[in-house]
Parts: sequence; C-alpha cells; structure tokens
Amino acid sequence: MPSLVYAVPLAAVISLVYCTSRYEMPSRIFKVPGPCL
Amino acid sequence: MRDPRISFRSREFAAVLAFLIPGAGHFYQGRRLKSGIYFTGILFLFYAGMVLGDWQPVYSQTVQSTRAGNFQMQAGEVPFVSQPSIGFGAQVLVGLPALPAIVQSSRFASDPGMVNSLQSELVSPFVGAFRSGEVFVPVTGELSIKPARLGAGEGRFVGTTQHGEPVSVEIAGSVSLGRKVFGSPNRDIVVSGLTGIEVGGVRPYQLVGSVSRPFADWYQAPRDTVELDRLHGKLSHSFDIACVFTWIAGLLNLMAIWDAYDGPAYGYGDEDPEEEESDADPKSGSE
Repeated sequence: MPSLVYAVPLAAVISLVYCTSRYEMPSRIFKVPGPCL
Repeated sequence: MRDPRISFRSREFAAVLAFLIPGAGHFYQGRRLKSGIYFTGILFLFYAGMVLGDWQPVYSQTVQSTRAGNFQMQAGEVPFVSQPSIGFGAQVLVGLPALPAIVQSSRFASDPGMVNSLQSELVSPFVGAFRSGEVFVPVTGELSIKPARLGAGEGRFVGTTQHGEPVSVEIAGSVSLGRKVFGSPNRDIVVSGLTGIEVGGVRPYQLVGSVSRPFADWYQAPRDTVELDRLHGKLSHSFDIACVFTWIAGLLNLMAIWDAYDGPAYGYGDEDPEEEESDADPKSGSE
C-alpha cells in the first residue's frame, strides 16, 4: 500500500508529460479555423 | 514534419529556455497550457524527490580519499578520487534547479580542506561525545565558541549526556573543523581544552562530533560514500525513491525541450490520412 503513495503521482506525471509532448494541446485546435470545425 | 499552425519563434532560444526552466520555452512560444503542464509536472516531481531525500539526492560526484580516515578532516592537499554521478546526467536536464551542483563541485575542488583555526564565532547544535583516551561519552547540546589567540577558541558547551545528565563545560583550546564545502549538513569538529568536568567517572579533555554546516555549503555538493551510507541509514528506501523522482524529472524535461525545439511528435492529431490520399490521387491522375 505505501508504495502506491510514490507510484501514483510518479505514473500520473510521467503519463501527463509524455502525452503532452506527443500532441499539441486541444486549446490550440479550437483557435485555428479549419475545414474540420 | 513541423506543424505550420504552431508558432515556434526562435526554436533554439526556446529550447535553451525549456532546458533552464521546465515550461519556459513553451511560455515564450505562447503555448501556455503546455508550459503550465511541464512546469508544474516536472518541478513537482523534482522537488517531491528533493523533499523525500532531505534535499540531498542531487550531487555531481562522489569522492573517495586515497588515505584512511575521515574525509572531512583531511587536508585539501590529500589526493582524492572522484567519480561522476551517473544519475546527475539525468538530473541536470531539469536545468537551473540542478545547476548549483556544478557550482558546488567547483567550490569543493578549491576547498583548502580541514580548518585548524577558528576564524569566526561558532554557535551551533552539537552531536557527538566527550573523549577521554579511548572512552567516549555521547552528548548532545549547544556549542558556543569564539576565536581566541593563535586560532584557538574559547567558549562553552551546554548539553546532556545520553542518560539525561546535564553537563556544562568551559572550553579554551584548539579547534579543528571539517572542510567547509561538503555534501553533508553535519560538519565534523574536534575541540580540545575542556576544563573542570567529570562525566561517568572520567575527565574528558576533548569534544568530538559534528556541528551544523550552512545550507549554502552543503546543498548539492559532492560527498563521500560514508555520507551516502549515512543517508541510506537515515532515510532507507526513501532516499532511493527520491533519486528516482529527480532522475525521471530530468528525463521528462528532455521531452519538453524536444517539443519546444521541434514540436510534438503527432501534431494536433487531427490530420485525416484518407483526405490526404484523395488529394494526392487526382494530382497523380492529371499528370
């Protein structure tokens, strides 16, 4: 159980930063006019 | 391929900013949400590791003296072997928060080693022992000494023995302090010239132990394996987890630097491959 205290924030930050670096943020998509909007 | 919808401005400058402060490169490019995520996520991980590891997981090298004995209490001329910390290679990618280690490494290299004279007043908590020959009586308390003639010190120690017996002793004698810059919050000290005290049936003449070292002199400074052993003994697995947190924070910032320089791997993720194919077909047909 105590290991979750370390594992959960570590996994959360790794996932968040990894996904952020793979894609551009959705907020930018909505600012750019395009045929899909 | 870089997405033309993203404003990179000066990509090289953004990458340098991203290295120095996680998220700063994206902030410069106007990618504020990403900037916030990198800044918060990476620095949270780095400083969570620092707190877990008593602010000591970051150091650029470990050192080992070529002579036996306490490293802190050796002269600066004594040669030592230094080994770069592999983990620091990952930690340094966090940028400014890990750069003091490089400054401390340079200060450490020019440190004159053990100090045999007291230059300024010293008032500090003390942990150690009274010494009388081969007999040591553990004590803790407050040491207060100021410089006297010929580098000696005079002052007073007030504390308690391990059995709770209060002790107070006047000091007038030589003072030897461990090297100034070293990666441990404890600075070794040997004070001689104790007078008028009898503890546990012996008359101690020396106070041997450690006083506190100022934060600026130990933070991210090189340390020896003895200090690392002490850290493991005190913090157990927390110190290892703390190191892992700081390593991963640095490695994650590498992704942020790359993103600031060259954009995200998959762009907006809204590209339609079928549409591209249908655009390409009529072109090739017309040719």
